[in-house]
Amino acid sequence: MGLYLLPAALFLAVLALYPFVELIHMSVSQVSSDNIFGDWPFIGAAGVQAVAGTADFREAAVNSLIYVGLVVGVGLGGGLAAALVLWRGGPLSGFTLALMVFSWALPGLINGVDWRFLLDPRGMVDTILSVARVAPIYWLVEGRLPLISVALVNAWTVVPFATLVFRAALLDMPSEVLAAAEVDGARPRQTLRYIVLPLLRPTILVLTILSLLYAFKSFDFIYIMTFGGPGTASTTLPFLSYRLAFELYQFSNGAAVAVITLGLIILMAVFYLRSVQREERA
Amino acid sequence: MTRALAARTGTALLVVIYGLPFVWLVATSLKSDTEIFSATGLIFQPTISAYQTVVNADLLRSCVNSAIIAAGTTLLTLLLATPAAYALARVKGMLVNIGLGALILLQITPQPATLIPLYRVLGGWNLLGTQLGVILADSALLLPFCVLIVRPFFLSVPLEVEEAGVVDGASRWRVFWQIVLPITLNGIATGATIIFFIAWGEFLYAITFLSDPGQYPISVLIAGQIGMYGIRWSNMMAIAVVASLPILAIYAYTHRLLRDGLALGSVR
Repeated sequence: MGLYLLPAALFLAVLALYPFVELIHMSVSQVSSDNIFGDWPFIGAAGVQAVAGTADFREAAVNSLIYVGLVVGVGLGGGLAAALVLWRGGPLSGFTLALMVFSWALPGLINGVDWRFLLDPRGMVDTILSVARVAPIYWLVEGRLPLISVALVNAWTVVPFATLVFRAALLDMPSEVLAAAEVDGARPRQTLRYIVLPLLRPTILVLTILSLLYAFKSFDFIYIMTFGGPGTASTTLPFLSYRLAFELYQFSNGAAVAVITLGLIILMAVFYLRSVQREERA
Repeated sequence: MTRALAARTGTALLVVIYGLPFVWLVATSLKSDTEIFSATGLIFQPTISAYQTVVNADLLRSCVNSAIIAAGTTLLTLLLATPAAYALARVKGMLVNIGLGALILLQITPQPATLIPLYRVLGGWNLLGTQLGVILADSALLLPFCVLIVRPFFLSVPLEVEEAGVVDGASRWRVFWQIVLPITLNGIATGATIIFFIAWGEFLYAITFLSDPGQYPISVLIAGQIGMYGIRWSNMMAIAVVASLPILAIYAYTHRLLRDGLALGSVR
């Protein structure tokens, strides 16, 4: 079986693991545009510590938490709601699902461009609001709105994926149990609360982890819709890492932010899995 | 509210939330510049002037470039990922856990973090400024994802099926090629479709590693113009529609595959 693994392993070793090691190397070195192609003096954890203490980093960390929270919360909540709506078939449910999954299949680039205009004061959202005599809202400009708007657009593409997975889990559900609940006179809400949701628990856990990991590294939507701005208002950790390296040419600081981000992702995933396990044992 | 009514209302809401943005995208691409500014919503005089402006030799060439990069990436990724996913589904023990752990670690690394090291690697091979370089970078980005998607399909092939082949005297390779692969074709097609879509929309590597505009994929045309001041939205939306068409065409054939394949791939 080794021969089956070897090509992929070699390929990844050179083009993925080596860059990964270089990233860590860069984060513990002093690298600027002067010596990017030369020697990298070792500075240890000093660079990582210095970067983690900056106001920019704290802002990006808070932004990342808000972003991830919205993508995971709205993505899973919306996905569950949509799956329940489409569960039992009915007119248009196949078409609706296909339409939703298309928005998931489109690259973030195209969805981002589309929504950047839809959220423009001349775009779809404000045009619809103007019917209700609401003054134009500058979604991608004012205060925390840009960050929230981009996160919601990203969640809009996560919902279809979560819907698919929830739908598959719902279709797998033992129909006798659901039929028994109905015979016993359970209201739909009670069935949902006491039968469906507990049965969906493993699915919710998997989806939480997947969307958490996905949202934390999300980059395309921010790049396309706000480029981290205005100012730094919608700069999350991956985008800060990009900005430090490619706008300010502080390569080691950018690498340090990327390494801290990865550490945080792993920490969150492990912490989450641990708490799930502990709860299951109790 | 009865259940049927709730389901219908919910379905209608979903159709609006997911359909209207695309209707608006197409509508905007059919507007003149003056009509975009007058915010006329969906009631306007359609014109194809934006398409007449943007659809030219350069745009068509960028579509060809996108097709080369996306198809090349899909091919290379599948070639490497399929046997690896099979092995990781059949072998047991520490090695598999280490392998899967490494794949997940690579999968969660933010893409920009790999730009500088990859720049150096590709530079060392004289592949900067070439589409082959972008294909290699894209494949490295998507290979872990592809293995993780395809592996569950191999896991679901019963071992007895393979043992029967071995008993009949087939070599390991023939068992894989003639028995296992045909059964798992759906999974491989699911992986191929998703890889193609992502590679079609990838812009960060392409914008960084390519320098000749004649080699740019359509994603770079979009990403490169989006930040410019005084952007012409009807033109931008027309390009976005053109860039979406190949995906729509493939999706029309593969959406059932994706619907069933994604749920399987992600939960195991």
